[in-house]
Amino acid sequence: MKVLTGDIEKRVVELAQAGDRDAMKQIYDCYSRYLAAVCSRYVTAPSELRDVLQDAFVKIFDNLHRFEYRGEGSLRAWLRQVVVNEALRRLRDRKKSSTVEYRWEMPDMESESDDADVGEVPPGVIQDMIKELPDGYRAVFNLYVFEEKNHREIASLLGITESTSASQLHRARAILARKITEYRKRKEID
Amino acid sequence: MDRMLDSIKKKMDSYEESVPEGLWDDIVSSVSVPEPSRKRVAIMPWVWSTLAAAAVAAVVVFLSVNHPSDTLQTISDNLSVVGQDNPATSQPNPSSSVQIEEVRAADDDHCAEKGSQARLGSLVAQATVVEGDVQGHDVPDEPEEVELAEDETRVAVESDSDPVDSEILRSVPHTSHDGEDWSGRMSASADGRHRPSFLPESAGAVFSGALTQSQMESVFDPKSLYHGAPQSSGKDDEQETVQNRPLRKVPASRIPAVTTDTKHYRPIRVAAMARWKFNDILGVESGVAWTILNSKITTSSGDLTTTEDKQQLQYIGIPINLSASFLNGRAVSLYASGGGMAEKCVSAVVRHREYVSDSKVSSSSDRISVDPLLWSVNAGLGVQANVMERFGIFLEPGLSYHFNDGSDVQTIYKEHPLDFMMTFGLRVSFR
Repeated sequence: MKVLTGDIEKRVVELAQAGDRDAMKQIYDCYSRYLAAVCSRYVTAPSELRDVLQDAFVKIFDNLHRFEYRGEGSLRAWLRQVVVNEALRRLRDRKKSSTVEYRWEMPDMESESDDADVGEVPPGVIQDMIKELPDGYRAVFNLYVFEEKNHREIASLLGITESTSASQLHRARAILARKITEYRKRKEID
Repeated sequence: MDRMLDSIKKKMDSYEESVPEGLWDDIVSSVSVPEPSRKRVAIMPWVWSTLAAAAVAAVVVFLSVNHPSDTLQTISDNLSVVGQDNPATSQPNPSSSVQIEEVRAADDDHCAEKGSQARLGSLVAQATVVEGDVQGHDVPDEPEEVELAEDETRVAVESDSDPVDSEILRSVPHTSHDGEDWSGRMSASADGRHRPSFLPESAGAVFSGALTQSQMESVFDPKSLYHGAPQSSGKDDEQETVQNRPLRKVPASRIPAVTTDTKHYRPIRVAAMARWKFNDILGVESGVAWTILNSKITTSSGDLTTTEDKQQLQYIGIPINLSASFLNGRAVSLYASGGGMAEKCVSAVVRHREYVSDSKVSSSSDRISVDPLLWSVNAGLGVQANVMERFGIFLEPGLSYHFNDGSDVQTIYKEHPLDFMMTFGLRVSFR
C-alpha cells in the first residue's frame, strides 16, 4: 500500500489541484482501496459499489481545488466524507425508486447481549458481518461508529427519527455481538 | 461509544478492499481537468479591466436611480420678525389706517415700560391664527372702543370668546427711532380695513435650521400675533392717532403656511471586501465601503417663495462581518453575513437654492462638518458570482441598524435606524 505523508502528500495535492494527472493517479492509488472498503460497508452490491466509487472519485477530482490541506490525515478524512456522502445519496435514491418496500424496521429478534470480544476477529470477517446487517441497520451503524455521527445527525441524513436511529443502532450492535460470539465459538471448536 | 464498538472502529480503521477493475479509466474519462493556471494569469488583466468597467457602470446606474423615502412635514407657523425695531411715526397721518404699536403678550412683563410713543416691537409683521393654538378664540371683525390714557398707549383686544385676555396693556419705551415716519412703508387704505401684506421675513432664519433638523417648530405666543392692520374704532376723535388705533385680528386663511418637505433617498453603498475562510462554511471578511446619503429639503411659503436644499453626505466605512456559506457552487455562491461597521463622514455638502415664483434668485453651496463616527450593525443574505476561483462579484440585500451618532445632521438613518440596505461590490477570498 502506497503511503503519502506530510509534505509529500501536500505537494501531491497541490499538483493534483493544478490538474496534474499523475498526481491524481497517485492519490487514487494511495486511497482507492481504503475508500472501496468504506463504500462497501454502505453499498454491498458490486455494480452499485463500482458506480458509487466512480461518482465519488469524479467529484473528488472535480472539487479538489476547494480542498484545503491541513496536515496529515486531512485528505484521507475529506476523501472518506465524499465517498460516504455519495453512498448515502445512492441509498436515498434507491429508497425513493424502489418498488419493494424498503425495510428500515426489522422485527425485534435480538435480545440483550453482552459485549463481544472483537480482539482476535479478523477485520475482513467483521467487514463481512457488517455487510450482512440489514440495510437500515448497516447505514446507522456505519454512521455512528465510523463517521462518529450522533443520532440527530444520523436521523437528518437518513430521513428517520432519532428514536429509530437509536433503536436500529442497538439492534445492529446486538446482531454483531451475536455474530462475533458465534464466530469465536466456531474458532474455539476448530 | 461502548467498548465493543470502539474496538470495531479501531480494527477497521485501516482496512482495505480490492478496487473494481478498470475503475481508474472510467474516472479519468469522466473528470473535467481544470485549465492550467498559466492561462488564467494570461487573461486576468483583461478580466480585471472588464470587471472594473462593469463595476463602474453599475455604480453609475445605481446613482441615477432614486428611491426616495419621503417624509412630508407640513407646519403652519406663527411668523414674526425677531429683534426688529420699526420706528414710530412722529407725525401720524390721521387718515392713515396703519398703526404701529408695540405688542406684547399679556403675561410678558419684560416690556412693561411706560412711554408716550408706540413702536413696533419684537413681534408682529404677520400673524396667523392656527387652529388649536388659539384655544378656540374667535376673530371678531370689530374690536371694541379703546380709551387711551395720556401717557400710555393701549390696545384693547376684546373678544367675547376670549375669556383669558380681555386687554393687552402695553407701554411704549422711548427709542432713537421715535419720530421716524414709517407709514409709507405700510400698505394702507383710507378706510382702515386694509391690512399690510408682509412677506415672511423670518423664512430664511427658520430655514437655516433645516440643515440640522428636519422639523420646524412653532414657539410663538399666539396671543401677541393675531393682529394685522389697524382699523378705525369709529370714534371721531382727533386724539386717536394711527398709533392709538387697535389692530384688527387677521384671519388665518390670509396668512400663507410654511411647508417643509424632506426627502431622504435610499443609501447607496459600494464595497470592496476580502474574506478569510475558517473552513468551507465559515469565514470573516472586511474591507472598505463607500456610502452616499442624499436628502432634499424643500420649504415653501405660499405660492411665491421656495427654498431647496440638497444635502449629500459621503461616508467611508470599514465593515467586519462573519459569513457562512450554504451553497458553494462553481459559478454561484449563496451565503449569510452579519457584523458591524464604523463609518466616517468624509464629505458633507449642502447646495442651497432659492426660488421666487419659480425663478431661481440665488444659489450657494456650503460644506458642513459631521465629526462623530457612525456605527452600525447589519445582517443579510448574499449571492456571489464567482468570476474566478477567489474573485467574485456579490450582491447582498439585508437589514442594517444605524446608531445615533449624536450629530445634528438629519439623514435617513436618523428617521429609520433599522432599514433595508443593498450592498454590491467585489470580493476576494483568501484561504
